[in-house]
Amino acid sequence: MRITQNYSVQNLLSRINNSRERIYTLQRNLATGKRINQISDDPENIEKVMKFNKSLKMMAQFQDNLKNAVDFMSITAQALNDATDVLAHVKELTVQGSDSLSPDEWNAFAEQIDQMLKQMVDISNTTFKGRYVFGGTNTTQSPFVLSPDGTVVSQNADGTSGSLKVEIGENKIEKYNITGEDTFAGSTDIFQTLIDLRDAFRAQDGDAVRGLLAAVDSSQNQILEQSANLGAKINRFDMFARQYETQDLKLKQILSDIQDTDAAKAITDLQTEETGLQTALQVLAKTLNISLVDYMQ
Amino acid sequence: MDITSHNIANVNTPGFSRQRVENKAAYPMQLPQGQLGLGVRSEQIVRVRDGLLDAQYRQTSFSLGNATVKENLYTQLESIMQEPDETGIGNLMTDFFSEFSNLAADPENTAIRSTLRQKAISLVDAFHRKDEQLASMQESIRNDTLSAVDQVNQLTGQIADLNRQITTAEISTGKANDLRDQRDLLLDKLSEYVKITYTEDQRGQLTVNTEGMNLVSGVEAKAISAKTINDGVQIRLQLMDSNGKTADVQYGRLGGMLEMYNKTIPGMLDKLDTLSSNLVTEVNRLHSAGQRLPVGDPPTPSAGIDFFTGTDAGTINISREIMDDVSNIASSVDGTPGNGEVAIAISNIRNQKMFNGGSQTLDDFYTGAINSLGIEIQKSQNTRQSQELLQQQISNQRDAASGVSLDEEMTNLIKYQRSFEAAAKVVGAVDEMMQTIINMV
Repeated sequence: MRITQNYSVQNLLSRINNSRERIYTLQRNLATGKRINQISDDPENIEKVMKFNKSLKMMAQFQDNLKNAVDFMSITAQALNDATDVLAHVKELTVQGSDSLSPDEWNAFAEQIDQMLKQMVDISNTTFKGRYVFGGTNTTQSPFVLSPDGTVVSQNADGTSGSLKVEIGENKIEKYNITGEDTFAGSTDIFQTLIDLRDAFRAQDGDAVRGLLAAVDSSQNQILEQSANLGAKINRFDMFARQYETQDLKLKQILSDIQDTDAAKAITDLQTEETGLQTALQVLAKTLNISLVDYMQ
Repeated sequence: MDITSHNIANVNTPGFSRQRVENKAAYPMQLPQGQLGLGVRSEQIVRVRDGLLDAQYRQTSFSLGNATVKENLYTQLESIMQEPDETGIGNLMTDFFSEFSNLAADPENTAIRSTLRQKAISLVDAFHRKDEQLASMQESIRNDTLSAVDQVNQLTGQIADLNRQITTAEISTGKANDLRDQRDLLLDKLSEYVKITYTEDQRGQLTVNTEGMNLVSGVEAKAISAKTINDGVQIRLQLMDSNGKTADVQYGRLGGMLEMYNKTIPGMLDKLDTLSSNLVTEVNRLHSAGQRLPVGDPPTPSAGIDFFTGTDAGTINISREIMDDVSNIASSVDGTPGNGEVAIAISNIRNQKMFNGGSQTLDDFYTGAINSLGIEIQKSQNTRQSQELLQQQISNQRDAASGVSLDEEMTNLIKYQRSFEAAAKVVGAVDEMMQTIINMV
C-alpha cells in the first residue's frame, strides 16, 4: 500500500484527538468523583440513578417527619409523667383526707388540691414548638381553660379530638398525637374529679373525699394507659427511623456503585492513556521530519 | 519534471489527486533495415483517482454529516435538561412533593410554608427555563439551517460553474485534471449537507440530485430554500427546490437539523407540557378541595384555592394569593390548623399513576423521557464515531491511491534528473563525433 505523508499525519492526529477525548472524560470523572455526570454517560442507568436519588430524598423526608413526630411525642410523654406525679400526690392527700383532720389541715389540703388542679390544666396546655400537644388538630388554641373563679374547666369548643397525622413511609400515614379529650376528659373527667375533691376538702366532708378515691384511681389509670400507648408508638417510630438509617446506607452504596468513579481504575486508565498520547506525539514529531529530501544533495 | 513539481507543490492541497504523464515510445520510423525508434512521446497527463472510492466517501459523508449535527444538538439538549442534577426538573419535583410531606408534619409552621413556596417557585422556574431554552435552541437550528442552505447553494453554484469550465477546457485539450479535482472536492463538501446522486454526461458535465430535488443541471445551479410553515399542528421547517416544491430531506446535515427542529425538540417540549399540565391539574384538584390556614380573630379557615395557574411548561405559575401570603396554602381537610391531610394527599401525587393508562407516575413519565433522550444521544454518538471511522478508512484508501507521496516524487525527480543527464551525455557524444568529422575537413 502507498503510504503518503498526509495519510500518516491524518491518522496520527485522529489518534491523538481520540486519546485527548478519553483523557478529558477520565479527568472529569476523577474531578467530580462521578462516572455519570450527564444523561449520555450511561443512558441505561440514568433512570436508576434518578429513581434512587428520589428514593433517598423521600427517605430523608420520612426520617425528618419521624424525628419531628418523636420529638412531639417525647414532650407529650413528659407531660403525661408530670400528670402521673401530680395524681400520685393527689392520691396521698385523698387517702390522708379520710382521717380526722383539724379545720386548718382541711383548708391546707384543699389549697394544695387547688394548686394541683391548676398544675394539671397547665400540663394539658403543654406546647411543642408553639403547638398545643393535647389540642387535637386545633393546635393553635388552648385546649383546656380554667374559669377565673376556679369552678369550671372548659374544653375548647372546636374540639380536642382531631388526629395529627404524619407520613412515615410510602403509603404509611400514622397518627402521632394523643388527644386532650382521651387523656383528660375521657371516661373519667380528671379536671372535674380534682374540682370535686377540692370542694370536698373545703367542705371538710370526709365521706365525700373517700367517695372520690375511686375516681382518683381511674384518673391515674387513664393517664397510665395513654402513657403506655404513647411509649409503644415512640418505640415503633424509633424502629422505623433505624430501619431508614440502614436502608439509606444500603441505597447510597448501590447508588455509589452505579454512578461513582472507580478511582483506582480511573487513575490507571489515565496513566495508560497519557503514555499512549506521549508516544503518539513523539512518533508524530520524529517521523514527520523523515523524508528523502533530507538525503539529497 | 513539470508534473513532479506540480505534484510537490500541491502536496497539501485538499482534494488534489497526484498526476502522472503517460509516456509511450514514439511511433518508429520505417527503414529498409527495420524500424528505427524515435524516442519518447508524452501521450497524456492523467490524474490518479478512483471513482468508486469517491462514491463510497460521499455515502459515508451524508451519514456522518447527519450524525455529527444530531450529536451536537443532542448534547445541547442534554445540557438544557441538566439531569441528573440538583437543578433538574426530576429533583425539583421530588423536592416539591417532599416539602408537602414536611408541611403535613407541621402545618401551622409558616417557615415551612415559605420553604414550600420557594421550592414551588424553583420548580416553576425550571419549567420556564427549559421551555425558553428549547424554544431558543429551535430558533438557532432554524438559523443554522438557513446558513447551511446558503452553503449548499454556494457549492452547487460553484459546481455548475466548474461544469462550464471543464467542458470548455476539454474541447480543446485533454482532461481538465485540476478543475475536476476542484469539482470532486466540492462534491465531497456538498455530500456532507445532503445525500447526493450524480451522473456525468459526454461533455463532462455533472447533474446533481438529492432526495426529491435537482441541485445542478449542466451549467445551471438550482438554488434551494428553507421556510417555516404552520401546518395547523405545529410550525415545521421545510426545504423547497427552485420551483418552490417541498422536499422531505432526511439525510445529511440538513436532514439532521430538520429532524431536530420538526421532531425531537417539539417532542421534548410536548413532554414537558404534558408533565406540567398534569401536575397543575392534580395539585389544584386536591388543593382547592382543602382549607387554608385559619386567619383573623377569631381565626377562621377559608376554602382552598388553586395552587398553580397556567396550563403548560411555558405558562405554569404559582397563584397570586399564595405568592402574597403563604397561609393561603391549603393543608387541612377540615379547617383545623393541625390537620395536614390535604398536604399528605398532595405529596402523594408523586405515587399516583396517571400516565399511559394509569401505569406511570409523573416521575416515571419524566425519567422515561430522559431515558429515551439518553438512548438517542448515545445512538447519535455511536453513529458519528462509526461513520467517522469508516470515512477515515475510505479517505485513507483514497489517499493511498491519489495522495502525493514526497518520497515517490523525489525518486521520480532523481530518475528524471538522471535520464536528463544520460540524454545530455548522448548529446555530448554526438557533439564530439561531429567535431571529429568537422576537424577532418
